[in-house]
Amino acid sequence: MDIAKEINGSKMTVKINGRLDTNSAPELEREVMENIEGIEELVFDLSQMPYTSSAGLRVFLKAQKQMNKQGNMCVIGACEDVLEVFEITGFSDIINIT
Amino acid sequence: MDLIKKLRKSFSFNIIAAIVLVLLVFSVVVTTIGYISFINALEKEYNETTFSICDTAATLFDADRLDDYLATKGNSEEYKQAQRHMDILCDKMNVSLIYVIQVDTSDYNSFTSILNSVNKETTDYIRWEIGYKHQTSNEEYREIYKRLYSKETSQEYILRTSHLNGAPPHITSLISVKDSQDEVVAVLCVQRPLSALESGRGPYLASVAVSVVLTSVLVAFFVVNYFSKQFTKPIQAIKDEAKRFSMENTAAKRDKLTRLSKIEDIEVLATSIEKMEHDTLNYIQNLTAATSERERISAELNVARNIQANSLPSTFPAFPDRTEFDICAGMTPAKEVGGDFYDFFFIDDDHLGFTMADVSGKGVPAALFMMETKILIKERSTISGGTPAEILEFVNSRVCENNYSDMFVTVWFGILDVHTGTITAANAGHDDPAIYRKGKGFDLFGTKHGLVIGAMENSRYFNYEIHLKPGDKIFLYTDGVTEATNEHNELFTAKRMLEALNAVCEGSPKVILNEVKAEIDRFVGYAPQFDDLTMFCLEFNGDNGAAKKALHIEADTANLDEVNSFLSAYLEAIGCPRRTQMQIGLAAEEIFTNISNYAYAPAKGYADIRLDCEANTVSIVFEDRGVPYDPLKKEDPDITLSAKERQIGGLGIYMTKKLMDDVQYEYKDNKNILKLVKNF
Repeated sequence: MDIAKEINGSKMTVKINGRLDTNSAPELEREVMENIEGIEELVFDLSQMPYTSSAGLRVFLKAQKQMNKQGNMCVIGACEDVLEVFEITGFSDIINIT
Repeated sequence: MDLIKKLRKSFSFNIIAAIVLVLLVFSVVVTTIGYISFINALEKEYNETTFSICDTAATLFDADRLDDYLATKGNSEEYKQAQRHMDILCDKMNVSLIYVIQVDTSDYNSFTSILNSVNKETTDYIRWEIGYKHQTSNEEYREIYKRLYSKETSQEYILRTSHLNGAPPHITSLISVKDSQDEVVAVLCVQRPLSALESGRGPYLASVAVSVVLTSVLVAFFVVNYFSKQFTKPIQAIKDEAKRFSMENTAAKRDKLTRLSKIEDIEVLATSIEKMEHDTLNYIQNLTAATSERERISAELNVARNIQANSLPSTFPAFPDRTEFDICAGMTPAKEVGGDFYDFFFIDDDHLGFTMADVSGKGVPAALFMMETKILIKERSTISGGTPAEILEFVNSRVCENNYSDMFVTVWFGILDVHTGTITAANAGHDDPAIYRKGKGFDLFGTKHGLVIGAMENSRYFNYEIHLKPGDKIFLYTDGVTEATNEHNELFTAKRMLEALNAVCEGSPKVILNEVKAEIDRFVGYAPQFDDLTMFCLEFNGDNGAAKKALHIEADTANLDEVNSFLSAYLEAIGCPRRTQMQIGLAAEEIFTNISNYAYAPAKGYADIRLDCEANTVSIVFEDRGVPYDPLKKEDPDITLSAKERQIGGLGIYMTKKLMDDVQYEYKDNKNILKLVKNF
């Protein structure tokens, strides 16, 4: 999994390239949480992420909790499989998916 | 010649011949003694009679007048009268000659005849005229004349029993003639023919001989008859019976050997022979019965050996359509039927049970015990299942129930997961298996042993695991291998066995078994084989090219990729849709991550993942030996809560339940077993 991170002022776009699983989730968590300070708009570009496990969801939830305090977060480009995971877990209700 | 030889060997002939010979000698002796007595008696009688004639003749003339007779040349009436009387005496007494002679006493070589009478019926002699001079016939006569003239004796005789110089046998009696002054003046001789002797001797000899021969024949007849009846015939009968018995081996006809003879010894012999025949027949009967019994037992043992041989799987390759492993096994019994056994069988599609065992003792009892144990292990494994320890505990309790013979059996029993290569095993006092690690070689895999089976009720056994990687092997054996003994009483030992194994460790199980057997044979040489020789070798191949159905792997999230590829390969192979694959992959990750993080924490352990597919249903089974934990009991997270209220965690198992069609948990055999089911 590769992470392409783009910070533009208070907006950070994180593009995840590859599977987000137990092993790769900690890296994502580190990248996001290290840079989240002062970010008001956080965008996860999941167009290149075919898969996420609960470990990935955990990172999204943690980020969402943080962004609830300082701005907005949204997920874009999620594929059907990933969307299903969000649906099942009720994440689609707490995360802005466009 | 043959007849003579045969006769000489015949007992009867020899007895008769001996009797006849003895009687012949006896009759010759008797006849000779009789003849000598007869001759002596006859001689004595003759002699006395002849001397009487001599005495009578001496009275016919006057001894004092002899010289006058010579001087007158017999021309006196007195002489003529004497001559006449003497002639009459000669004729009447039937003697040949009567004569009176005057011997020349100077040398006794000649004599002068005085009186001479010749029997008128004889022609053998001529009368000597008075004054006729004659030379003394021989030295015998001269000696007699000497003795008579010297008065040494007054009478003598000479016996001629055979013809001499034409004269027939005769006796000549001589007496000295004395004058009135008691001086010997002449010798008077009477010659008498031995005609009576001659005529009596023949008939006497003939009658003696005839009577002796008759007596002999009679005696011989009775003796032979007696011998024949009481001795030779019974002996012959016994001989014939013995000969018949030796040819026919059947009992004698009734009374054939009873009352044969009055001789007790013969009777005893006959009775003994009869008893011997009877005993021999009994013995033959018993022996025949015993022999047929032994043949029956031998035939039954052969059947038993066949049953035993057929009860051990001996066709290799044993499972030609299974590529996950390769098996070879063999047993060389020390006696007809042995107490060792091995066995292997599928418990289900994925599990192969295999065992190696050694019953105490040998022969039929060991074989029966072996069959019981073998059947119990297999039937319990395939019908009720369970772990090796449970199975051995069950077998032990069953064997102990009826073990009155105090036999026992050492058993190693293992169950191989043909996909993961994991062997779960339990050991009831059997030798440790040798494990081959690819590239490293064989070594013994030592573990704690349970008690032998059959020794004590309620024995406990322990499961342990051996993990085989593709290319690894397991070698099982009985002590017939390690304790094979050579001529110097040296044991083959586990050390030599490992050396032999490692010399061919890269070969197939068949090659390994053949080579180890050959090595043992070389070691043992000509020493006899005391114990059954049983070996088993299994090589684990893994799932090879075919999609693996099981994975034995360390529970660590670092191995997640390997778990993923294992799953993908299988799911792809069974034609599972990509989307379902992802769902299964997601669920699998959640479960594997959970096991990795919590099951063995803080230590590490292994997890087994087994896949199966039936129609359009995939099952994924996770097993671990970590702390018992049922994830299904965990409460589902409330997914309606806001992000702020949502808890991190608990999502994995929740998603799994949502994505799968069925999730089951059980804790069994010290294992957490979680089964996921997904339809597609």
